[in-house]
Amino acid sequence: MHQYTSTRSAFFVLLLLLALPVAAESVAIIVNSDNMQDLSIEEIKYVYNENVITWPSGKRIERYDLPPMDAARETFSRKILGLSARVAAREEQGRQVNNSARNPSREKRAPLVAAAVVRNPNALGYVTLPYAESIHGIRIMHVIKE
Amino acid sequence: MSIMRRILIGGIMTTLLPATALALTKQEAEEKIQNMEQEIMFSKEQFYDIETEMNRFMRISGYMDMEYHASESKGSVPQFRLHHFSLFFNKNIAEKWRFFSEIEYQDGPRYTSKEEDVTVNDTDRNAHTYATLKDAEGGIFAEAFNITYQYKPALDLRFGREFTPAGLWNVDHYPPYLATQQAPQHIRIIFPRTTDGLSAFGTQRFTNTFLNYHVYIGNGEGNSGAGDGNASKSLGARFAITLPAFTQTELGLSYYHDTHNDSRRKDAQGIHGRVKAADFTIQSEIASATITPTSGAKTEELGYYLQAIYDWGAWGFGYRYDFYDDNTANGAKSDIYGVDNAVILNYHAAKNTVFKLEYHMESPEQTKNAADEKTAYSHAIASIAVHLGE
Repeated sequence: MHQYTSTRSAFFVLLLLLALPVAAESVAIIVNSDNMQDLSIEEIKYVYNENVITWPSGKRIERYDLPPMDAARETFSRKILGLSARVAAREEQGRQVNNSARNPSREKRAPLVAAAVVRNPNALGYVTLPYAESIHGIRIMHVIKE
Repeated sequence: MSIMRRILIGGIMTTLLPATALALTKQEAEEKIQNMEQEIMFSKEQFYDIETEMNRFMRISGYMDMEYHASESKGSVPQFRLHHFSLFFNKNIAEKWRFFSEIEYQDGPRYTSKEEDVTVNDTDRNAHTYATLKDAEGGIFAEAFNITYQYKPALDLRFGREFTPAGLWNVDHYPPYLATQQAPQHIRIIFPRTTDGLSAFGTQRFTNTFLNYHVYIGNGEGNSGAGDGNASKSLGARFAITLPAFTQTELGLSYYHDTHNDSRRKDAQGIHGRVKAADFTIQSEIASATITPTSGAKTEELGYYLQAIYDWGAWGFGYRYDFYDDNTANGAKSDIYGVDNAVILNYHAAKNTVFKLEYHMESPEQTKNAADEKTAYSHAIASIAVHLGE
């Protein structure tokens, strides 16, 4: 009887854990610390839709994406593009395949996105806020709260 | 005194030795840090060098799809179809120059030759024997090969063969990114599949609205890449505006004019729209063409479809109503075209892999002659489409 109760309790605890929402972190849109140009949230959407491909200075924007399974990409895609990360990634890849991509994004994991932004003054990317705050040489342009 | 001296020397040694040892350790640590910094710098440079080298490489990717067909149509048998295997070759030639090509192998092509079949004489009257084709199945097609010069956001120039910029499906036409294997009926009929020539395209911003244009001039339909059979060049244009409504909204129009090698004139026009609202996507195209011969009756073609897809995680559910009439002008009835109602199910196993199940209910246009009347039938296509490479 006691063993049965313990098993049942463990089962309910497991259910409770599964039911709890996964704490998603805020996402920081980042640029090189030497880049003082600003883009609005709406303009960032245009950049990731490839309607806008240059900075106000005229330099081409080198844009970076996280892999579609990264929670930060899901937050970014939902909040900025209004699409799920899966659909946004498919659209991005579709444009590249059908040769209509005018400024394709580069898909990298967070450390490489940060490294690229630190190195390149024309880069634009996004990573989780705590990670962005731990990196020198980048400027946080916007914070997207989950 | 001697004891005191010994104690003093011992005390000094005890105090100084660890300090000396610590100083050496610090020096070593600094050297190690310097070495590590140097290694990091070298690694960064190597990474940069590899990335630069990678950008210089010709990139090869592609896609494949395979289908299983089952149809109620008379004489049809359930069958597998190795529909497409396509290879893309891309290269960033220079900062603003890009190369793109696609070689498509359709239906698992097989070609064998027959030796000693044809003998021809050259200009010096020397005989040469060439092998001719014995068997041929499937098709190999250079669907696209072009060079793009990215002058500025509002103007890119493209030279070579490209998919005719018209409507939606002809532009976004790759199976891994389409809801169905079977295209709407009028696609690639009213507007030609590809265009050989020059084109200019770009995007112009008007605050929150974007105008995308693509204008082109080419040899026109019915010509190989070798040249044009007539002096008239085909002309076409596609304009689309992206509006800040819903998640994404695009409205556009397309136009195409050509004179065929048999002197028939073709004028085609179309409008299209696509609205994305969160996980819903609705798209539609309407196109028509008038083909005018030098004498005799004109042919009027008309096609349109409306497709709705709902994305739910990895799944996509959809429906499409599709109509095409290959001649509306003189009341002629088509025995292959008409209405197609399609129910669509997609499963995106990964961003580059999709399983599709589509069920088509085809109702060919009915003729007045009962003997020729075609009955409605349905058919299903199960398929997998994979994009190879990033």
